[in-house]
Amino acid sequence: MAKEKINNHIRKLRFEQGEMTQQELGDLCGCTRQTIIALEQERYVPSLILAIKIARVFGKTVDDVFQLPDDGNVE
Amino acid sequence: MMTQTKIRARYGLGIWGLVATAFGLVFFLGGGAATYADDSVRMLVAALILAVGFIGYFSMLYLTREKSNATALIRDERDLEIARQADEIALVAVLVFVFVVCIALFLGYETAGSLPVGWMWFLAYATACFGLLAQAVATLALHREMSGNG
Repeated sequence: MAKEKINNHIRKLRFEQGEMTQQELGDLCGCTRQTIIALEQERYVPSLILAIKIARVFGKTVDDVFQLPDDGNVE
Repeated sequence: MMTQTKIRARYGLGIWGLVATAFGLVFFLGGGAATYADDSVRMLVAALILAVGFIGYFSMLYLTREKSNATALIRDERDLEIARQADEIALVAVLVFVFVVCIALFLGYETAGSLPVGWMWFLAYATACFGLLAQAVATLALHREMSGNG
């Protein structure tokens, strides 16, 4: 089974939000700075709850923040 | 700052690495399995080594607990996922370890018809050390795989 992966725009969105730090985003979402780093490097797939929390911090939908790598092929 | 699971894995690796080394020295340097069960001094020393290891390990778990007045988060869902996967890996590793040791003992003593009871002590002590070492190594490996610098 292929390893799960998900793309995201967290780094871009952080800088659009006044250069929010990873620690600040982690505090707002209830996760550690290391998890934000792992997410930005796309080495960790978040839970649905964390994905929703992150999207809410940026005022976006989950789809705006996270995409499947093969989104272009999804019907 | 490292998260709780990574700190515990590092200390656990150190503690159980030392315990395994000390036990290995006591077990093999004093005559091996053939004389172990008849040597009360070695048995006592090995038991003390394991006891000190467990006391040190549980003290470390207590000292690295999440404090009620903590200001920063020390673990989150990624740490829990890493811990869950590390436990699964450690379980399989222990099963393989026990299987391999048992098969090796069988092959080694097949013609003799019996084996020194000291090997049962070895299996018990070594399995405890190996399981905890495997859990620590798996945790650190998963942290490396699932994180940037944390």
